Amino acid sequence: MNDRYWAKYNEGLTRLTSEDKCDGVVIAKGCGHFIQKDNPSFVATEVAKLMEKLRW
Amino acid sequence: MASEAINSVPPPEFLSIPSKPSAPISYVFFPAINPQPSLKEHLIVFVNGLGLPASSWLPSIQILHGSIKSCPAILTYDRYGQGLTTARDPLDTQKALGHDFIDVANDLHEIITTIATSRLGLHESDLEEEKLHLLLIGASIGAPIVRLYVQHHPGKAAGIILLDSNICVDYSVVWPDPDAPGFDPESVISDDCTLEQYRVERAKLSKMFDLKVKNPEGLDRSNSAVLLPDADAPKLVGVDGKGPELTVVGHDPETFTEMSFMMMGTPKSLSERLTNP
Repeated sequence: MNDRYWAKYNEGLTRLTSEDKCDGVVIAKGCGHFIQKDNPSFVATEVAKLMEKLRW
Repeated sequence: MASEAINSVPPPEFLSIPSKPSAPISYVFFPAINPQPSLKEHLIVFVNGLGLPASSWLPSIQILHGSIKSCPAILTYDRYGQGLTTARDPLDTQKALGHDFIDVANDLHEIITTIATSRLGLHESDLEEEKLHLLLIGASIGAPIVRLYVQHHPGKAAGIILLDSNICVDYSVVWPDPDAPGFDPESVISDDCTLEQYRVERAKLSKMFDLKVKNPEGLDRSNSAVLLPDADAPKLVGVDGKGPELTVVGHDPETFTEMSFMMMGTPKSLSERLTNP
């Protein structure tokens, strides 16, 4: 019990893939829970970054 | 071409999926911009949470389109009972608690297959041969939905972005029960929160967010802690049998604390001590 707070949970999620495929938790500065509402540019940047990793 | 894309947002359309032909689903398909030559088709899919509909992705998509020269096709959609999808999930008349995360992940698979065949020129057999590579973005409960989809359909996800994932657990589990043996009042009492206040706030959050609480779209979350008991398992398998590229995004703890106080009156010390860490 009580071992599933949010930041800890997010850290757990980073282990869902191989170690070299995730750089750790990124904090969306200035955002509450609704990240695409609070900072759409942040979301666009993260999508673009991932596309670059994928060479899309 | 990129500037044209910024100005022209495709209109929402409706599709129906083979297993639920009578219940149309609203979606927006943004065609690829200057697609790069590739042996695989690429598709970016945004999966909303409970609180915001598909239209919430539009600002991000417009900014993305304005910032890069080439972009694969993008799909947004509203689940049953959400946003522009007014149809309810036909399963709601058959299942006592209504449709759950697994049903929604199954719908997502059918939606992607429908779009791949109708808009990307693929055949269903192409999907089995891993000719479609996906970048999936899930916000809030969109994150567990994306995880379940990828678990059940390995070989498709090239990349995944999880935006402040729902943690699939009751607040009443994360926030200690003040009546449980061994409860330490000092763990919740602060300058801005008495024990009595804590009881009220805990009951309030539990009533709003616990997994058994009904939501307007009728998505049953009560079994989500059973479907996804762990943050870090099961491992996800993407294209070529490998782990997908993964970005995990968390909310800013200070902003979350501030917003929870402003919007719901949650004492800041409780967000800081109990929810954020």
